[in-house]
Amino acid sequence: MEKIITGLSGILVFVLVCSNNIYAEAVFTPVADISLNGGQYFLEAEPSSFGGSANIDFAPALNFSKESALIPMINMGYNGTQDVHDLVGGGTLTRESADIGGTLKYITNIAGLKTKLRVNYKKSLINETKDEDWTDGLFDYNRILFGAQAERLFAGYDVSLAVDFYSAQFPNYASLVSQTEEEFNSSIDTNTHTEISQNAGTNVLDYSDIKAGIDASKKHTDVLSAAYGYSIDLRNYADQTVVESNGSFSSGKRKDTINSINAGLDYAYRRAVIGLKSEMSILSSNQNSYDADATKFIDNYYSYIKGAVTPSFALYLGKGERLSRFRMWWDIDLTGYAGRLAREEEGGYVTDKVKQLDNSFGISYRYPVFDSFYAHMQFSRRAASSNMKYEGNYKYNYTATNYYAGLNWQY
Amino acid sequence: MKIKIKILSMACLMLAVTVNGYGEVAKIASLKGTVEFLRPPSPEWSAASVSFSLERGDRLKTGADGEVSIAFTSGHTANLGPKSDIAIKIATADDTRMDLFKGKLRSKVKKLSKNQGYEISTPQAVCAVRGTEFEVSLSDNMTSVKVFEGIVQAREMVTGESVNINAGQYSNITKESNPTDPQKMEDEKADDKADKSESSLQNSSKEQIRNEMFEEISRDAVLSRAAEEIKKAEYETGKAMIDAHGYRVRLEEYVVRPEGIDNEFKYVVLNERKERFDFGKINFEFNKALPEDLTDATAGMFYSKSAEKPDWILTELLSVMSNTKDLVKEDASGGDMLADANGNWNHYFGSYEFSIKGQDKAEKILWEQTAGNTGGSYEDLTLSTVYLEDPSVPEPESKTNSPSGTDAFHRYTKDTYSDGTWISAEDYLIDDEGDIQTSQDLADNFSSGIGGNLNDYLAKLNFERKYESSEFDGRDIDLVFSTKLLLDSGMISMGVE
Repeated sequence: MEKIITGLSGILVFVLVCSNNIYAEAVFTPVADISLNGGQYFLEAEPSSFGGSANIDFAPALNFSKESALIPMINMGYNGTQDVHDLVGGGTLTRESADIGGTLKYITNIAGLKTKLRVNYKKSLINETKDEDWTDGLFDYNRILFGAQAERLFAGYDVSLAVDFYSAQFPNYASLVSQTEEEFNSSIDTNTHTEISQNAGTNVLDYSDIKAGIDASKKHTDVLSAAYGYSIDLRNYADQTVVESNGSFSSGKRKDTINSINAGLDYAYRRAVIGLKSEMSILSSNQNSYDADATKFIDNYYSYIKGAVTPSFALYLGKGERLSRFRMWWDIDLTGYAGRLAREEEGGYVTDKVKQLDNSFGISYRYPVFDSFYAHMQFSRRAASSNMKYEGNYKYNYTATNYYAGLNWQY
Repeated sequence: MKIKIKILSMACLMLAVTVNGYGEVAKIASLKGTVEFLRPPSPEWSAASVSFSLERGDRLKTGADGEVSIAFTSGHTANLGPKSDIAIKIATADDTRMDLFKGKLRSKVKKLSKNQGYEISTPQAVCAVRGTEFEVSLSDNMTSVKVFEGIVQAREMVTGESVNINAGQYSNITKESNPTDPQKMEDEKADDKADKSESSLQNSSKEQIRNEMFEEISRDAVLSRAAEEIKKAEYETGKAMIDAHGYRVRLEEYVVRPEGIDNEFKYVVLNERKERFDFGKINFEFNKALPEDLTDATAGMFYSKSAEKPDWILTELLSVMSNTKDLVKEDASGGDMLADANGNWNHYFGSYEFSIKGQDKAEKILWEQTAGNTGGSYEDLTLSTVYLEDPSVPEPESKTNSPSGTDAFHRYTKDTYSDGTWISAEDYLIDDEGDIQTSQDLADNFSSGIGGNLNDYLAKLNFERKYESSEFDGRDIDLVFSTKLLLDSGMISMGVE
């Protein structure tokens, strides 16, 4: 509850600051985007039951003048079907998730410089087992974010600089060892508890992150536009201690740094748009892992380098203002871990580091039914393969497929 | 004569090059307020003045109070409104092309011949004309084209769809949508009417707000990926799973090497379910100091095919499984290894004690086993068992069944002793989804080519044991742990060698 109050009070402060700019000429402009879908997910050939999803985005914006606006945004979503990019393992076929979030964004546009201040709060709920109710989910999380952004046209490029600070808490997840002192004491085994709990953190998944990035986009010619970006994340896990080579915890805390670059090209000719996006990110972490089952220490467990390339093709069809759109894409994603060792099927470690290749392919079609109503459908398939053959804990080699169809309304 | 013609041609060519952009293509006819120009490659904006010569590639922008009138050498004129920004891409006698980045540009175009053109591009549209007066304005993500004289063809960038806008009409263009059908302006010459209409303002504003909304959705997707990655790492390290009853089990396993004691290690497994906690710990004691890599000792601690007797012999074992109130204890000592007839080494304990303890009750030893004839081969080993610490107590009555069918790896065993004490053990072999494995699953995996070794299949599974007893007052001990440790230690094996 305390964490929620912190989030809401932050938003309130932000509203009060922004409200100084409100004056009589404010124009109220509501915008909404609502989607309803139904579909099914298949892991290998095993289907889940049909499920539905719904998403509502609502932004009742206040334009104070041509130079400033305050945009509150509300997002609510429910997902009873899985996407091919969702995690595989641990009862995922019964998965349901719901999100609710609010953002307040204050925008000024003065002398060609657009600035945006925003505060965002999100609560993400996930049900994966039959004994989890809403708000009980092990991986539920709350996130609060404060961000600032500046955009300006510079040498023909739309350039955007952004800094975000956010923190995420997993209220239902704490390390087991931190919760067990009483149980161990009552079981007359304080010694064992002391041995395994020394330096062990409690809220081991909670983290805070400072993310800074620059994005630039330019329309190079009438038909060719491009976008480029770089960002750096400094992520701290304030309560996750670093694992030592003998399996014990040191007093040091986990820190990750993530550097990402991306570039994208869009070539538009008549009714067709061909796109190519690429991204590379490098995560450097000081955290290790100790596999108690195999009594094996794995140095530099989390660090990786990831590359992704996504070619896409879109075709616009029809006449009038509202066009139908056919789109297809292929996403190739390769991750190579710096220290994580691959394992054989039986679990034995080999010297190779884990490599994961994901190939995702998708087709979608959107058709304007009338006015602002669109019907849409999507089919996607993902093939994951890895040199990690041991799948005792998690699947690394599989195919997943999903399809859904539904309606979208934009106001 | 031929030489003269060539020289003349070259002169014409040079003249053409000059007209085509390496010299003046337009002049500033008039201006007011802040007007600046940028001439690449210089990155600096400089103040513009009347009669200033503009060249191909020049950028021109106006401040909030600025306006500028441009007179092209080709005869066209263009008026740039306040807070506007353009680039002159091409300006020849036949072809004039400009990019409008923001603001408003009103053009008066001389009548053009078939091969001549005049175009203004925005991020959404290309507006091409043939002798007209028209205005292109860019407001965030919508381009508005108003035509005062002649005809303008406006083409949307992505779809390529175009619309002809006649004098007195306007059309709005947003990305990925066809241009709106031309609408009549109330007053052709009274500019800005259409622009100032409420619907136009709202459309423009809506598009901007929608873009801001999608920007947030896109950012949220990136940040949500971080939370997904964290969750994925938890699954990958086997810390979250489902038990045979469909309940979430969180699992943490530890190996502890007690400080100052070099021949022991402890394996601890913690299980947490909603409103309950179970744990297990096994203390292993060996005949000598353990190596840095424990697998060197554990790999052959119960069974070894080595020619020589393994270096590390498990001498004592103390195992406790508990729900924090009740416990099941196994205490073994006098461990050693004996070779069997095939020369393989098998482990045994000199004595093995199995006891239970209910909350606030005394510990009860249910049985104790002692090994005899330990001097020979493994086959010569004899085991004698005493129940309830009394040699005269008979064996317990034992019942077994398969609650999920004979095909499933779900076995229930209940031992009832002569004094009425009973204990039952329910064993499940499950995957991470909590699905109880069947012999058909086993056969499928065996035949699916995973190397012919069922240990590969077993290694992917989890073992769940649930104890109930007359001593536990209706409570149970329910513990899930991965089979990996059991396989590595040789405690279970289904390998087909």
